Amino acid sequence: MDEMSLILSRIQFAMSAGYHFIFPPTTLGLSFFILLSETFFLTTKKEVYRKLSSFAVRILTLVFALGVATGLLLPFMFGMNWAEFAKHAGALFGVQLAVEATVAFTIESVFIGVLFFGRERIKPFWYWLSAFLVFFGSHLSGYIIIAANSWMQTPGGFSIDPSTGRMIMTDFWAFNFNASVGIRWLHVMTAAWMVGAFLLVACAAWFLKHDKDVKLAKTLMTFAGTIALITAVAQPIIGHMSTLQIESTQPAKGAAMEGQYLTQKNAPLYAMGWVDEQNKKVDGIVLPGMLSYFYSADFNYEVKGLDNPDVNKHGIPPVQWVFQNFRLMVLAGSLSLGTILFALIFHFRGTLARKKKSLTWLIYAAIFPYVAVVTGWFTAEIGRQPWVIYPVESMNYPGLSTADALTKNLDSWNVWFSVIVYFAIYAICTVVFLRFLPVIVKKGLDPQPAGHAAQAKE
Amino acid sequence: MDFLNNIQVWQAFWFVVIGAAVFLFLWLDGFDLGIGMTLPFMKSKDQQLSALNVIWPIWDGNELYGLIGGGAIFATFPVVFAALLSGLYPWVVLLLLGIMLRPIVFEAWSNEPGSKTLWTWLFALASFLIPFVAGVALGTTIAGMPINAQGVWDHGHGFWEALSPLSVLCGLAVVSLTLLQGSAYLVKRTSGDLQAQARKDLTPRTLFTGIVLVLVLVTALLSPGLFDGKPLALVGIILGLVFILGGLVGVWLHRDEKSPDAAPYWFSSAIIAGTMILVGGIQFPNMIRSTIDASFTLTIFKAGVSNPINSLVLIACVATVALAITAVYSIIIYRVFKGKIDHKTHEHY
Repeated sequence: MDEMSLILSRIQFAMSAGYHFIFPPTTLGLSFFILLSETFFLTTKKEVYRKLSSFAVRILTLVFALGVATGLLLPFMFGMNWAEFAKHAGALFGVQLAVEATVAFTIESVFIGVLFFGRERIKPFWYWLSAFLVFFGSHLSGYIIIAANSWMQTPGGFSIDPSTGRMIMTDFWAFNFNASVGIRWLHVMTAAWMVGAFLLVACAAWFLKHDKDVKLAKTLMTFAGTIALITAVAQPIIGHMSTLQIESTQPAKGAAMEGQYLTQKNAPLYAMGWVDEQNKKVDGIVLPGMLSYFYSADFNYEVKGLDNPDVNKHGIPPVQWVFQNFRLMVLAGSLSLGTILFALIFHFRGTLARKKKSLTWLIYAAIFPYVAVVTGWFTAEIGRQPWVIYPVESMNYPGLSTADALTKNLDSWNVWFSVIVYFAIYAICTVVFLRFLPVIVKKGLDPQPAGHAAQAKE
Repeated sequence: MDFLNNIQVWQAFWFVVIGAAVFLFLWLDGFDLGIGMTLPFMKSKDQQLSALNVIWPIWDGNELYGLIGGGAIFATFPVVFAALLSGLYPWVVLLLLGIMLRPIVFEAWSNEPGSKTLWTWLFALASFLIPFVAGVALGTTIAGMPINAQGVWDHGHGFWEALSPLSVLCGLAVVSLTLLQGSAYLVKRTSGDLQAQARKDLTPRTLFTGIVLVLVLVTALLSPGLFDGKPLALVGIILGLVFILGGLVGVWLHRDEKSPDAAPYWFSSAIIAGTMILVGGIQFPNMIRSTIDASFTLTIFKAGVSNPINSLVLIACVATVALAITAVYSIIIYRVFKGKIDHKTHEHY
């Protein structure tokens, strides 16, 4: 097997999925905000909610287009770089992706068109319904994709065809309600709402800083800031529950996240540190006993480390990567929480609009939830290594390793070519996003149609 | 309902579903792609804006049918999905370049409209790459790939072997069909000088489409062994030709201003339907023909998933319901955005 092809394919997939995963959470977060605004508009008939909703819709179309562009690539990669995976699991995994395209993504993409162009063409209730369907479609789509990914972590609903050695589907619902999907979906959706809320808070901060549409901007700050605060508070709790889930189904990932090489009572928690993979130890700032306490509210609880055969029976992931990404995620999440807490205190005291430096910080703080989302994703996926599909003892399923999932005879020149093309496209995507997001924002919270302005001049 | 317990019936069913999805993609996204390729050659920014306003709210919903077709192959013929995408790797990268560029450039152009800018040309390039590479890939599955006993592209055969006369002609055929569909749709949905230009374009594009389709058919007929074990080839060719010839003549007869604006579009759509019937007839029951040995050919019976019948039934039900709902959405959206379009149509925000 060609080592170069494997390494390049892994880097390519990690970068592509990671880059793609900037946009869908934004879509989810904005669609949630839009649904809330439209609901308030429908019930109270206050223009302010219509204006805020329309503003979010204008951002949504840009984000959605980039999400589609970067996301369409991923299913192709399963056939191109991971053909053995596609053959092995296609009867289940392919069905899931096809269901996502037909059932969920269709709703989302069709009704986003209505949201963007349809305000004057349909009655308010139908417009509200479109907002609901965009919300529903995008969150259903999120569920289906997270279910597919969770299934690779905790597989179920299949058997192996003895004649081909490939999977066949025995239970569609066991696939979709696998062991880890519930808590992981909640974790990702909360992250997505946080991402969307922080982006809108950053927009509101920009308007306040530049003294533009101040009244609307303050409402936006209250509205989006509240969502940001609630999600930022809820996320550590949900994340903790997700950790407990990992501990029960993928103990090696859990131990790598915490850098626990030794099985011990009164297990320490590393606030930060550096993993020495050769000597199997972690140097860093230690909170004694806190990990045991986190896992069971008992300092005497015995935490199983990577030396334990129950933990390492399926191999050990790259500990440093998992450990550091996990810490980055927690750090970024904590910074988000601290930022929004202070911002809202200033905002409700009425002093935020005067604090220009705080506003600048708030604009750049929109990046924290993104960092948390991407590093969290890396933690989950690198922590699963060396498996693409995790082994299940109770089903006698030996798993599919990442190396075995690679296309046979994959030419590394081909992969170089695709890596270069994809990265060029991501560069264009980034340019478009960074160039046109400000254009959309600077049009303001209550822009006058270009046509009307031209007529007024005449 | 005994035949439902026969797995071969299900494999044939999925063959038809995938064909139908490809047809919907070519029919609906076809005009988006054709308009995209024409964009840099339009005379003014207003014309371009009118043309883009036509496809703006609907194009991503249209593209979805292509995605559904690909997803259906992954779900029901994973072996074909793997062989096709890994075998045609560098070509698929070009296809992806088109697929990914299109939404990005669309956003860029809409925020920064200009008649001959970089965005315009990139949009045209993306709109060309998608139908051309998709057509080449389709042609390669018919003409054959070096598929070995393991069911994958054999090591030692270069990527250029995908380019046979038949596959290149198929690429050109899909491009010509989308170009014609683009003009026909502009005639239906716009007015004024843009419509007049689109009407003028109908004649050369009809001619081009006719010539390329004839060349495709002749090349296929002259290929040795292409029709071995193809029970539906004759029916497919005859039925397909009826639609194609009817469509070509129909567009030709309705190219003047006195005809209904929608007529060329429906006749052009008939050509696409005929092409898909013809291709389906020539292809069945193959998914990918092997040029190494006929016994390595991936047929629907060899490459289909061997799920238990109850899960096949469940997936078929889910797919049918989902497609029905999708059709309802599509009809709703086309009704919401019906009527003549100009450069001011979507200016309200």
